[in-house]
Amino acid sequence: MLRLFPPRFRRTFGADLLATFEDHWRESGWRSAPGILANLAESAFLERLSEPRRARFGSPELTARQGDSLVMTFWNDLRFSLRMLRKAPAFTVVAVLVLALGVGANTAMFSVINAVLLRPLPYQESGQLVWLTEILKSNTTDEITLTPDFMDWRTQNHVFTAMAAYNAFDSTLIGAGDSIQVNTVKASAALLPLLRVQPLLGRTFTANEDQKGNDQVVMLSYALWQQNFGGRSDVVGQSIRLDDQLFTVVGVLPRDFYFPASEPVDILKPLGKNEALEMQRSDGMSFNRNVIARLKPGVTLEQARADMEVVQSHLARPAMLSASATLTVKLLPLREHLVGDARAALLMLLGAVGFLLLMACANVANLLLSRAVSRQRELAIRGALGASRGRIAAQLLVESLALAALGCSGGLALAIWTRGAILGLLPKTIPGLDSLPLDFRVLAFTMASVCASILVFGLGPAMTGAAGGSPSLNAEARTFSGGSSRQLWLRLSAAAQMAIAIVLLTGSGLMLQSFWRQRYRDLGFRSDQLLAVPVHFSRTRYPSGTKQSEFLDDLMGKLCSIPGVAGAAVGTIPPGDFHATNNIRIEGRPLAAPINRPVARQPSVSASYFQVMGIPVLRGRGLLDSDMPNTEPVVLVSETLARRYFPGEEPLGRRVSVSRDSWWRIAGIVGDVKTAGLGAGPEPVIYFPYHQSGRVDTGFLGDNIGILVRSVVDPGAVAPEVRKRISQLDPSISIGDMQTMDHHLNQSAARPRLAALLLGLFAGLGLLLSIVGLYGVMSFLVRWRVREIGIRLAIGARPGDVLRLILVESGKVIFTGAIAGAAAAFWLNRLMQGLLYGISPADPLTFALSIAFLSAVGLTASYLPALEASAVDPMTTLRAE
Amino acid sequence: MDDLPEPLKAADFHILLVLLETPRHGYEIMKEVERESGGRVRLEVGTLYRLLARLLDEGLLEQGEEDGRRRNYALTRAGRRALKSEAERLAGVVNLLRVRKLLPQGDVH
Repeated sequence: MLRLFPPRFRRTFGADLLATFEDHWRESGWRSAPGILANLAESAFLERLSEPRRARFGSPELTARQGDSLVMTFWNDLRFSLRMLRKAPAFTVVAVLVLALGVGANTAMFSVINAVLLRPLPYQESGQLVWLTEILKSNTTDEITLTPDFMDWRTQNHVFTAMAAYNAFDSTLIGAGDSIQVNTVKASAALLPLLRVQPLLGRTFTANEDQKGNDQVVMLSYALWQQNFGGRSDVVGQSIRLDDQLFTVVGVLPRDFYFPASEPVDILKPLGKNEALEMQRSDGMSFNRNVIARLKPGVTLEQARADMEVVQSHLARPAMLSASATLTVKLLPLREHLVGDARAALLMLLGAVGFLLLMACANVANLLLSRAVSRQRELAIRGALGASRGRIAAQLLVESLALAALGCSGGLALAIWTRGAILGLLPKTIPGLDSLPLDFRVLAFTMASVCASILVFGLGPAMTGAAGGSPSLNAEARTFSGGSSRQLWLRLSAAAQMAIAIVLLTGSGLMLQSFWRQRYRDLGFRSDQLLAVPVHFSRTRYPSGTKQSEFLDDLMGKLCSIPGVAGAAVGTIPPGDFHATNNIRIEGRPLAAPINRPVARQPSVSASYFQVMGIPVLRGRGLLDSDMPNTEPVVLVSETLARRYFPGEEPLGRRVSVSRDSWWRIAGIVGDVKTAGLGAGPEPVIYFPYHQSGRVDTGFLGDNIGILVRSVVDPGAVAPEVRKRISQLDPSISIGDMQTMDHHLNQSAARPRLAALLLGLFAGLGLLLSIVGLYGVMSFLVRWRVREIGIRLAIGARPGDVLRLILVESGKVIFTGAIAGAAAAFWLNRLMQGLLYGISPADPLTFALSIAFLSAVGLTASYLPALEASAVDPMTTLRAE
Repeated sequence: MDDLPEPLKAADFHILLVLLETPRHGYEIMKEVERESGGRVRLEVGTLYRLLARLLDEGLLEQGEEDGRRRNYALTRAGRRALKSEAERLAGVVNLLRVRKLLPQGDVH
């Protein structure tokens, strides 16, 4: 506290002041603490203000008087303003609440943006980190990097100090009694040094361990080490069993280590590639989902891009790629890759709260304006007593300042208070959202938004002050005959608020529909009463297709016998999260160049899959239990596959192939399912019966299969029994995150849902503010014109006419606002294009409904002032003259 | 006009007044001022030290010897003079008021 005082003051009085303060504190106790502290702060502030002056002039006589006069004027103005605000509690409370709402929403939103987009990633010199991928341009634009290309990049580039690849997948950690599913990453030995992370215990991987065969070592995450190994330091050197294989623990990752992926990682393994084999670029080469690198100091992203393009152009072409195929390289700052599409959504939301603040300011400006009018008498008296117009304006400005300061503190409090709720709402897949620090950037932003608001809402009263001429004590002053520019300003402000409300309403309407379409439309299956059970299937225990089929048949039988279960199936759990890139071949057609070959997702499913999922068989037949290895191989294809690869032809009965010599006859066509993600379009799919395909994998990496259980009761109720039956059949099988399908879909749609929810909330608040604004302005205009209305009534107008008059007035305001708002929304919503799914940013229905809704609410809100106007008693009004 | 002393501010006057008989330290000044003014002048710690700083600057007070961490403040000759002239000014005002019958003759509360 003492530090607040200027140094000179502190040196002279510091210790003594403290002693006195302690005496005082002891005697009066904590009850008077706020008063004492506030007084100290005030004194320190004033002392600081007068300090430079005192130092400059040196002469004490001069300083005391002159120095005080300016500062004290401000101070007295401030005290006077606070007194005035306290005398009008309703006005103050409303104004401060409205401002706090605007500032609070902005601060909260900005603190999220700060955490996600502005704060550096938790690595040393994280600005140097770059994410790289190859883009395979063909039927799809998959972002994967071929391992041999990665290895060539690593040796041939001139711009990176290090480069590392990593791939995430699930594996099963088999403990003493139970098995648990753990998130595992295979990463180059170079990864941790590249991120400049030191292990907490033990060592990192060696380059040698990147080679297949030397890769039976793991590092544990801090969390896994604590939970499953009791945090014992002798864990290093121990063996653990992962997926039926033994690995030696060589190290433990530090506690605050954040892995650059969407999910926390439990176990780190070496990349484990057969590098010599990969370099042959044969069909067996593997690929990587993530490559990151650290730029050499001083190298820009652009230079790196140019260098990598040169490197890419010299790479040997894999034999499986045709001459027309293109493999391009893409570089992104690591943060941009991790944040992904969250950036656009966050900026959109910041824009929305910015609008909200603007409306809040307009509202406060209106409040100030109507107060200024009712205070005209007071101001006139002060003018008559000798206060210059400058003095009065300064005092009014200080009053705005005090209001803004109160609103700012309220907003900050609101932001801090809602932080917990916001954190809970945000999906954990966005990096940096473990906390929302209120650092200097957030505070600076809040201050800036408050300054902007003072400018906006201070402008109104200032302008009318200029327009209204000098206040006079003349009785005419109370009838505001010269206020036409003020009326215009008020109407414009109300119309502007209507316009902003339209922008927010259409925006949130579009987001809501987009979310709705992603989550509920075109799913292609029935998601209710469905339980999704991902299980990890041990390849070593069930090496052959026959063994796997036997086990799964057994399991389906067991699950179907649970009371309340209508059926069980094996197959993919939608939605997936990428498009398939597996080639297929159609019989009777020439073999296309590899890059132009048709592609399709190729899951193997049980015959019951379509019935359990509720996927309709459109034509032909479904899969049958009789489709066995000894009968003709059949498949079902999705509607999109039939349409895309058999345009104008009959796909039923045709044969397709996915490997050299096996042909599968198309037995039926089934409906499309969102297998490539909720926000993606339908894709070609071939469903194989697992008895015939001899495989049950459904994922790209790892060995997970999906089990689906349709129940006739609440799916949550059968879940424990499902878990029990699976464990009874084979205790070594680990069960992943068992969820009802609805819950699973909600999680997949978490981001669009959040964006729609927040934007909807902001639009609701905006609507409220605009209605309050319109109501305020209309009732103010009615009071303003009460004499005119009285005269109208006195000379024969009926109350109905007056009612109509006022409603038409507000109708004009609403209409102007709605047109301007629709135009602005039409222009602004285009920026949302990338966030929308299945709906145009200029959707006419959304626009029409928003305008109609706002007009209806607006007219309702102005009905009250209109009623008030029609009830004016002409005699009273005229007598008052 | 120049040598006509400006009236002292109430708080300054009370601070000088309680230091007339003996030097005192900060907290004593606070308590005494409140007591002598009948609770009408209350100084919070911050305000008190701002006033002390100004009075020191103007040469009306001086810092006495240290007593532990506390310091004593005492009147200077100029301080005594300022107090005296303020008292005379006030006496003049009181006389004037008596002449104009706004105050009764005799004791003043």
